[in-house]
Amino acid sequence: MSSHEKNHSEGSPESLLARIEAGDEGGYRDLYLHYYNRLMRYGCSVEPDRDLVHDVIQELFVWLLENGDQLRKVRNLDVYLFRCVKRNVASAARRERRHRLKAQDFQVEGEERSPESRLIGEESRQGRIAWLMQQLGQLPDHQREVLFLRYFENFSYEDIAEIFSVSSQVVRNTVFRAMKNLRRNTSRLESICILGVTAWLALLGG
Amino acid sequence: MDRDRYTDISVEDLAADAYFRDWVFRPTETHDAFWSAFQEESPDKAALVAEARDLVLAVRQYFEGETLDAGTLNLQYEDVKKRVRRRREVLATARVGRRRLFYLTAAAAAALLILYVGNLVFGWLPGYPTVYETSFGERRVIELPDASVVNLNAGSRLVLGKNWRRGDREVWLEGEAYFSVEKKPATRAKFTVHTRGLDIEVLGTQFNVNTKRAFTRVLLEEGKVRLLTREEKPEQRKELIMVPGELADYSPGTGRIDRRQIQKSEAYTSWKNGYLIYEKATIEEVIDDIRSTYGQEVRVADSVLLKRTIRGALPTDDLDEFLHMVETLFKVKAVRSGDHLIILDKPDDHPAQE
Repeated sequence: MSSHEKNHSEGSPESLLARIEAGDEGGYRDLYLHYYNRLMRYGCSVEPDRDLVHDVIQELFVWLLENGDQLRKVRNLDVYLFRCVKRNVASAARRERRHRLKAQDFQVEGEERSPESRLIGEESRQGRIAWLMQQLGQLPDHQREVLFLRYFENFSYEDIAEIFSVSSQVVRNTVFRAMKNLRRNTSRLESICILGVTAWLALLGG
Repeated sequence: MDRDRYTDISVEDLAADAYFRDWVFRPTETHDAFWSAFQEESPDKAALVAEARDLVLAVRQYFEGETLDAGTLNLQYEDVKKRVRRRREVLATARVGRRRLFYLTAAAAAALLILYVGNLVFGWLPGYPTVYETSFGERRVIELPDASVVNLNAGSRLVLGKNWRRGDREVWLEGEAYFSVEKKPATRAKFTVHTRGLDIEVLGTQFNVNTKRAFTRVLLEEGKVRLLTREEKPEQRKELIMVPGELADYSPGTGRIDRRQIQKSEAYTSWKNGYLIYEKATIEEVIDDIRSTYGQEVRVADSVLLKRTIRGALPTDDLDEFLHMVETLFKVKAVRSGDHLIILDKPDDHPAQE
């Protein structure tokens, strides 16, 4: 289930589905407006090539328009569309890679952390967030993807499990493992943070 | 909000909690009061809140990216509709109803499936090797599934073994080809070129193979290859390892391998760049090349001509230009007679009589 944090402009998924089922072609347009940014964001968390993801989303809607009855049996629109994008992006990226020279093999996996950025990370909350973002960039792809679904989209473990076609226990474990990876690198910072907060509380109390 | 709900909550769950996230993104006074009180319960809880909050914000900022406005998206949606229209037109011009197309596809798929399963079980088909062929005057650069690159010269044929996918990198060659073989250091998987009577085993290298003459000529530019002859009697079989810059000629008739070191390999490999290099070449050698590159039969009218030699670079993809240069360099005249060309002498003192 999706959170209500995002400002959903054109009505809820349920009402969109109802309009489409009633044969309202404009429903697809609103569906596109409603989902494009979210699907784009998700697609890019799987494959950073924006053009490729854009193409996948467009083709998905072409396919939906051509196969009008597809959405009829859909139980959870969010999960359904995310699942489609995940699958199609993965296969499109595979195709793409087959055509490209293996240039990306020579790219460095994630950037080395510089001592400066570490220092900044220890300075302030905003810096700590920036530092966490850098850590996110270094996680294995699927761990980052799961964190996106869980903490950006705020999907439940069960929904993520459906998107990935695995059991929800596997998703749970992946989230914990990803968090462990983030923490392993932050443990030092964390202790400093706790210290800071304690000091702050002591001040308040005194 | 009931504070007990959060008594033993983990960072992972707190960061996904709707009420908590509401506070992080859109704090109100009620929120603030609740979460401040929660944090004051113990330093542990304060740290928990701090971590969950940083996580949520970091994830948000990391993935936020660019958000397109409704106007842009409306325009984009027109592209979707255009794609749908285009596809409908394509389908309409094909004049096959979708239903019929569906049945046709289904029938074809079923037939293929039956063939495939039948083949697996009964071995109906003999296997389906991949074949690359070039006609005369044509050259091709082929990238093999393992990322090795093969330049295939004119009038040649390269067949890939059918177990390629399983890692047996085997090819059969008739004609001439230049191989740039990708190394497989992890598996040390071999790459083998089979020609008439001779196998060339490779471990990551660049070399030229030419079977267009009566003998098979292998030129090694880089790396290491092993030659194995396939004579009928085991005791006659030979095996040798070539070193870079070496040229080996194998004659299937005698089973002999002649090898020598050469200074410049360019003359043997320049064909892949679209020209042939001649260095004191006789007209006979050039005619050999016309035959193998262009598939054109040539005869020489006067045996006196056979003694002349030339140097120069002649194109592999333009017979007229090639002949023109032969005429100029050898001081001869090429005349067409049926499907043959005949080379005539052209005395020096009567230049350019067309």
